[in-house]
Amino acid sequence: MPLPEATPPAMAVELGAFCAQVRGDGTGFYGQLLRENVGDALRSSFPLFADRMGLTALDGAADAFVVEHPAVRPQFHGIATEFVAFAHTRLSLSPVLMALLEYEWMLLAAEIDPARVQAGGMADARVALNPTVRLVLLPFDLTQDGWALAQGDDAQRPYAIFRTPDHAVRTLPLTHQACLLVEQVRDAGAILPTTLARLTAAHVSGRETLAWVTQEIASSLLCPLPETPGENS
Amino acid sequence: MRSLTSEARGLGLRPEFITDLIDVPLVSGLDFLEIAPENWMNIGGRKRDQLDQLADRYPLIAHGLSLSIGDAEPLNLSFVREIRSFLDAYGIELYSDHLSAARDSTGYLYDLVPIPRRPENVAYLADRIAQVQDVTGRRLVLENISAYHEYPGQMPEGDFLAELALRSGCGILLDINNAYVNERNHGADARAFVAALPNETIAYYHIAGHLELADGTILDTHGTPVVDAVIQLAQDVWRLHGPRPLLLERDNFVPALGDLVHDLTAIGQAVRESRHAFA
Repeated sequence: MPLPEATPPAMAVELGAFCAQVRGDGTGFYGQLLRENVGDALRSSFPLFADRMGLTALDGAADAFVVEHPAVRPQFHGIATEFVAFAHTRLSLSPVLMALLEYEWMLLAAEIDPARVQAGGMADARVALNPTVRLVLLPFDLTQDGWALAQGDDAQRPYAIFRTPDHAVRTLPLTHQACLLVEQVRDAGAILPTTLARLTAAHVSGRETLAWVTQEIASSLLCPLPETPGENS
Repeated sequence: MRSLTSEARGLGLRPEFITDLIDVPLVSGLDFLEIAPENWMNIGGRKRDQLDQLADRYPLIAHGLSLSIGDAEPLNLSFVREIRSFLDAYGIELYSDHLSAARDSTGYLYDLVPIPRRPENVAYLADRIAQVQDVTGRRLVLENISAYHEYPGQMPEGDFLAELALRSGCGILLDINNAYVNERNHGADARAFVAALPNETIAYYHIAGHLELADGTILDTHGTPVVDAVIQLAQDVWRLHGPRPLLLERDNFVPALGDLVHDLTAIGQAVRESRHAFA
C-alpha cells in the first residue's frame, strides 16, 4: 500500500497560520464564529452552570477553550465533554461550579447514552440497574426552582441520574439505604429481589427491600430483565 | 437503500420539525432528508428512536461537518470508520462533507475554515479523499463552502474543485448559495465557478438563504428565504448542468414544515420551468 501523500509544507504553514490567527484573535470573523459556537454549546448544554457563572466569565471560558484546548472529539455535541475536560485542567472553578458542570454533563450523557432502556418485565424477575444510570455525589439539593447548596456536615448528596424508557432524564435523590441496595444490584449485575433481600438483611428488612425494588422499577432506576428458561438465581 | 431521482427535493433535517415528520402522513413534495451524521452517531434515547422512525419513512442522505478533509493533520480514520458504520446501519449511500478544514494542530475547531487552493495541494487532498472512500466504501461528495477569508493568489475555486474531483473521483455537492455568497463577498464570478465544474461530478445541489449585513457582506446563515438572485443562479445551474437532487437548507428561524416544503416546491418549480423555457 502506498504511503499517504505528505502534507505540502507550504499548505501546513499557510493553513496553520490562519488557524492560529483564528484561535488567538476573537475579533475577526472566524475568531468570533468559533467563540459563539462554543458559547452557544455551553449555554444549551449547561444552563445552570452558565447561569451561575455569568455571561462575562462564560465568554472568557469559551475564549480560553478556543485558544488552547486540544479537542479530539469531532462532533459538535462533543464540545460539552471537551469543555468538562478543559475545566478540570485549565479553569479554576469553585467546587459548586464544577459540581454543576459535571451534574449537567451527566444529564446530557444519560440523555444520549446509546444503551436501550427496556420497559416492563415480570415483577419477580431479576433486576439490574438502568443501563444509563450515573451515580454521583453533589453538594446541592435539587429544588422545584433549580438547586440550593446542601447544608450540614454531610453536605454531599447521592443521586442517581438515568433515562427512562420514554426518554425522560430523571435525577433521583438516594437515601443511605438506597445507596446500599444500589451498590448490591450494581455489584451483582442482575439479581433476584429475594436474593437482594437476603444479601442486605443485616441492614434492611426484607419487606423494605422488596418494596424498594417495586418502587424503583416504577421509577425506572431498576430494570426487570427478561427471564431466561431455567434461570433461577 | 433508496436512490434519489434527479428531480428529488429534500430538506435538511431540523429538530424543529422532526415530530411533525413523524406524526403526519408522508409529506407531499418532500422526497428525502439530509442529516449531519455527527449529530446522530453513537447516540441513543429519543433522538435514536426518531431517526429510526424517519429512516423507515424517508430516504436519508448524510452531510457531515467534521471530516476536515482539508486539514494538515493525519485523517481521523477512527471517526471515518464510525461514519461508515452509521451509513451502513441506515442504508445511506450518499455521504458528503465540505472542502474545508475543521481542525488544526491544536485540535478540532468546531466550524469550517477555508483551505488554500494551490495546485500543489491537489495531490495531497486527492490522496485523503481516496483514503476516506476506501474506508467508507462510498464516493465522497464535497461541497464548495462559503468562505470569509481569501488566501492571496489562490487558484479559482471552480478550477481547483474540478481538478480535485477529476483526480480523486470524488463527487461535488454544488451549494448554489455559497457560490453566490463568494461572488458577492470576494468578486469571484459565480457563473464561471459553476461552469468550471465537470458536469458528471455533480451529485446534488444545496440552496439556502443568507443574511446581508449593513456593509454589504453576505453571510451564509440558512436563516432566511432564498432570494431571487440565488434562484436565478440556480436556473443558470440547471440550464448548464441539468437537474440533480435539490436540498433546501434552513437552520435558523425555521418556519413551519408546511411552509418550508412550500418554499422547496416553489424553488424546484422555478428552476425546472426555467430549464424547459431555455432548453
